Amino acid sequence: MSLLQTSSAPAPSIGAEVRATGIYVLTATVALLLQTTVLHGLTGGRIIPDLILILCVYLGLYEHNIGGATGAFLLGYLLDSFSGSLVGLHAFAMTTVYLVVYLVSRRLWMDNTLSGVAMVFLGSLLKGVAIVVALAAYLSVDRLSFGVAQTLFAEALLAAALTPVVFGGLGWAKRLTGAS
Amino acid sequence: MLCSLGLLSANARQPGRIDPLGHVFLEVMAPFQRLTAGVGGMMRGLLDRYVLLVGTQAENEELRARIRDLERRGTNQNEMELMNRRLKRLLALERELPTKAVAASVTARDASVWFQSLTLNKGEVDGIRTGMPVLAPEGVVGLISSASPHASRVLLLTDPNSGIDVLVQRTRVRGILSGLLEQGTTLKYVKRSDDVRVGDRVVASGLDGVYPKGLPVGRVTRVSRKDRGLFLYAEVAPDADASRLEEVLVAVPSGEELRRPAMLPSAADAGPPDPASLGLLGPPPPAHEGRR
Repeated sequence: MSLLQTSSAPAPSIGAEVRATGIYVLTATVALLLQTTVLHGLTGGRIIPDLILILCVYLGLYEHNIGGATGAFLLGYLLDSFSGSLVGLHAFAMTTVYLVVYLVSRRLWMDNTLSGVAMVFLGSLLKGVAIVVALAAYLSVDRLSFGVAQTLFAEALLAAALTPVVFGGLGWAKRLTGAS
Repeated sequence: MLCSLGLLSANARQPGRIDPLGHVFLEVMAPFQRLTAGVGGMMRGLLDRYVLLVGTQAENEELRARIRDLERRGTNQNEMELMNRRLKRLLALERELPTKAVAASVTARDASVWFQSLTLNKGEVDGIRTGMPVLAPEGVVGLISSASPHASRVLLLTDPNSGIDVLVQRTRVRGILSGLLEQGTTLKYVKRSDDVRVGDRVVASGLDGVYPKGLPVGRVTRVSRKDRGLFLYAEVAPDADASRLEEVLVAVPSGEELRRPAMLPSAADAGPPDPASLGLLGPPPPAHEGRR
């Protein structure tokens, strides 16, 4: 995990970038729909698998350009529109996750499923911490109990477990459409 | 001819006595008759089991379709009955509210586990605006945090960003009810010397100008007084379970000051339900016509 990435991939064509953007938009839409409807019914709303975060980590790992960063911000903003009342909170958290994943993937070899799972797990924890810190900064958050940490951990585990499916689906869709 | 006439004459006098070939014929024909009968039976069976099975299969399919249809109707009827009950209670609440109200269905829930919100199928077109209170027959649900023309979002009272001015009904102690990052709500800014006990009912104070005074909010489930500090810590279980809500009422202020609502009647006291008038089954009603 300490190998430096020395090779740089050739720049994709505009058509491929447009197709990849389409895939990300479609994935984000489906993920949001699932998170706000079906997954609530399956899990009772206690723990919801954060599919959008997995997509954000994917962007951090494979989209090292302004589009990737903008995508992470938009994913957070999309989540803000359907979660909580403090607009910008998820945008901040997602951008932070993207930045950290991007920096890590620039320095470490991150081109297999296991490293993706690890990054999603850590990214989920990071997102939770970023939200709590931002809430504490902008609102009065008192009495953070052990329950918060438990929820954080459980959510991260669930997201990590779903990572191979989401990453695999995205890779397949990109290969199918010639976006990769 | 003579032989036959002779045979006939002899048998006319003593029937069956003179029959030289009858037994032979009987014996010779018997196996063929059995064979023919067997083949006939097989053919009949073949006809019944295979050729006529086409009709049976069609009949079977028809019966299965009828069973499916009846099962679906039964499920729909149960669902309608449950919705009827819920709407009856919603209607009873609407009649007691001092303001107009718009009924809406819950279409989605919060995308994150850290916050608590709902999405409704009614928006600005139906008269819903940011800041309006959202109620259920059980009690306060939350308030509208954002509204688009055809949808709106409700910030639940269990959300950490939520805050409601409330009273402990028994002792009239005031406090602010706020959500926690983990599930549940807490009563803030209540002096440690104030009389608050487990089981106390918490109602809206009406002082925040959002929720009508006296509306049920929840019950105190835990009280803790630390050795230090000005305030006590109390947890409150909301009366309205947001995870099970399917329909809610959005109170639309008519401009006049909110009056205290009367005691909420039981569902049995309410009149016949009219789901269509609530805009839950049919097309949405015109704006500002949620109240009859």
